[in-house]
Amino acid sequence: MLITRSVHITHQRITCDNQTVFETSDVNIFTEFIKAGFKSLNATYPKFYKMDSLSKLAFVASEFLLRDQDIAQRYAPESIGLVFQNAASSIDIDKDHQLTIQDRANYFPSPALFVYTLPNIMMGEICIRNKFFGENALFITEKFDAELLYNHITVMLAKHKMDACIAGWTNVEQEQYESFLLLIEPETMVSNSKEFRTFDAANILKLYTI
Amino acid sequence: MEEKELIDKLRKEIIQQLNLEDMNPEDIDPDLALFGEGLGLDSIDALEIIVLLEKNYGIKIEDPKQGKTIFASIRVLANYILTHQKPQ
Repeated sequence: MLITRSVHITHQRITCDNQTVFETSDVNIFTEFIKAGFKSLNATYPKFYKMDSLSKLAFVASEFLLRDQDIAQRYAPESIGLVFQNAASSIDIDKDHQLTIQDRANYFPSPALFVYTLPNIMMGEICIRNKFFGENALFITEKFDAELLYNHITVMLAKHKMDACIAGWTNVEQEQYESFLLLIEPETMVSNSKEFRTFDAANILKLYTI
Repeated sequence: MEEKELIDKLRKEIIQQLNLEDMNPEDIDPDLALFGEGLGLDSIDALEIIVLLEKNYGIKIEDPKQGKTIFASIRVLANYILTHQKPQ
């Protein structure tokens, strides 16, 4: 298996295979930054604006990761899996939802907020967008754990639960945000003309810490 | 409140409540279907409009099935509010 592409979003910058593909110093709050990043893709997807911050971050990272990849044409929809990690779960939207229900005299729970009060919804948004129907797993970990990610994906591949995988770390807590996503594919399905890194824990960590 | 005034208010409220960021109030034809082929809203949006009606106009939709009729368009919604809102 090979790591065929990586995307890293943090500190107002988006890199793809370690090349900067979007950067701005014009906006210094996350919501504005991620909206600008989305607009830079020239994509039309009104549902983006309805997502919570965590889903927006994962969505934009996945759009850069999968851009020009034809992944849906090369793999069966049920064979593309997602394995994510995050530390803060869906804490920001959980707090926003709490604000709508804590006052009994002003009790108006928002359905649009409530639907995002689970962190794995970010993977659902990516699957809806790309029509993926494969296995999903989300691990809540204190920090990014390359070994855990590698081990879980290796088991899923060995059990033939997936042929290709979108994997990584996506975490948002107020203004602290980071998404690091990888596209992992079998050697037989990729072009020989480009050199890719072998899928293993050491290479995942190398790409994360570049 | 007159129908036209309420329609303009509802256009703004719906854009804000449903995060329709790429739309301006004047983009919403008051006679356009809110769901399906029209504005393309979904089931979560319908629930948000139910909350909006209760929060901003004191109107409680007891039976969600009523939504299909009430949410036919902004104009239909405005007229429903005008006939069902209790005097302040």
